[in-house]
Amino acid sequence: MNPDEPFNALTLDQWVPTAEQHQRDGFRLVQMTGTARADHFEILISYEQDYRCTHYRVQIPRDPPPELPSLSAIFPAAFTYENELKDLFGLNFPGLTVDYGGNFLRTKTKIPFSGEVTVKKETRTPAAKSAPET
Amino acid sequence: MSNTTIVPFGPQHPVLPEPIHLDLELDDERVVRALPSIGYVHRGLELLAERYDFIEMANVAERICGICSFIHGQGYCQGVEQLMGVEAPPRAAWLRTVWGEISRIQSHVLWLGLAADALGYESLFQHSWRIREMMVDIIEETTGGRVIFGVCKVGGIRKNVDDETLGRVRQRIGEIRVAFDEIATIFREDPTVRQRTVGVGLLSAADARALGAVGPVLRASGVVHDTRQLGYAAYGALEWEPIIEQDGDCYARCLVRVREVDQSFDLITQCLDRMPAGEIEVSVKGKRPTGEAMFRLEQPRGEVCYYISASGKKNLDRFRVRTPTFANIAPLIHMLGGCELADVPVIVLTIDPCVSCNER
Repeated sequence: MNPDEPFNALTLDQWVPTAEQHQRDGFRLVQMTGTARADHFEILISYEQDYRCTHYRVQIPRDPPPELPSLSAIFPAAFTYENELKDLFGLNFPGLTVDYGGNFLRTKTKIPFSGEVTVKKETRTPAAKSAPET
Repeated sequence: MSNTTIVPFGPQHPVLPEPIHLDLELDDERVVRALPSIGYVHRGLELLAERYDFIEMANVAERICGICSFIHGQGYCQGVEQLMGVEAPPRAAWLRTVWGEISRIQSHVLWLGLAADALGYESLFQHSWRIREMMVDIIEETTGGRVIFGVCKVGGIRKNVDDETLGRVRQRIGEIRVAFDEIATIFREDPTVRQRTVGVGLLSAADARALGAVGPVLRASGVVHDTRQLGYAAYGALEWEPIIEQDGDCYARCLVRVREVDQSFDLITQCLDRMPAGEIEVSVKGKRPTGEAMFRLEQPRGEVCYYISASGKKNLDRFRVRTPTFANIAPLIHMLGGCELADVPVIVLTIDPCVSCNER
């Protein structure tokens, strides 16, 4: 089993200092992912060292237009994740080192996850009544 | 006035089985910069976690990819089992390891064939896929299908394999290994292969780590990192060490995969020698996953991460997969900078891009 690994909450002003600290300590960036909630976006980031991960979560309010300082100058690997988050959720990343300007993900709907993303249950239609025998 | 030319590469290209697009900025025949675009076949599978219950969702997770379908199912099931505090019985864990390694062999040998084809070595491509076909026959005999679907479940596995069948698998693994040794020698020594791959697409250990490379791409740059070292399934009880190469070029990435095929034969043999008897599943009736976990395991293409969040309901709150191909895009862009246009297909191929994983 994977070891129990903590999920810690961060405030927006702790986002960059935490990344800098992990970079100094020799961690690698494993992943960044986003989730659209009703009134905020949630970003989850994972750092790893010696096969052990530490995860951090930060909440970004939807209003004003959501933005998060880029970590790409600290962890070069961050630029693909940040471009993905930008194209899916409409987040802005000031300081993004390689910005594809919204052309990284060629989705049919631009910024598909900018609203609250929830699958709508399909209403089941009753089975058609069998035709009367003739 | 700029002298650069932009050449589109993909989304349809002879070397790409699946669609990915690169805009290549060229100065004469040299690539100055590569701009990637993905998302052509995005399917939204992660969001289906809100529609299907956590038991059914294992079937969706398996369908992220056809090559490593079993490992996707295994990662999902082990993540959910972790949240439920359930552990699959030993026989299930060891059979999961066998199918995981069979998947690794058939994926790597498939890749070796595609690489041979990209190098213009068609007979080597055909021999590679002939050997892959033998592995697919084992998959068919042990799971009932040529792609492994519906075998892994939350709490264990659905299908046991009797000892007589395992004995036949052991014998055929020995035969396939002999056949593979013949083509492995060609990949190691043939001047055509070496000429197209040695010194091409260099990635230093520092760059590989900084850019988040995973799997054979990372290990070919001399970085010792293999998520199987976490010891999930039966890996903690087996004797093995991660395969690494030092040169960080296309040839090194090819050699890592050749050597990993050999290592997977070893791991399967170890599992078959020590296969525990007993149950293949534990009941999870009435239990629901609660909490959140990031489960990681090693696919043929590298580390894959499954983030699973649940609150005791029958549907998961969030399911997210970070695939190895996505992690290897940043290193790919770095490797393409400064290379010759003719080397682009070979470099792209050496990250073993799996677009269906990427576009889950």
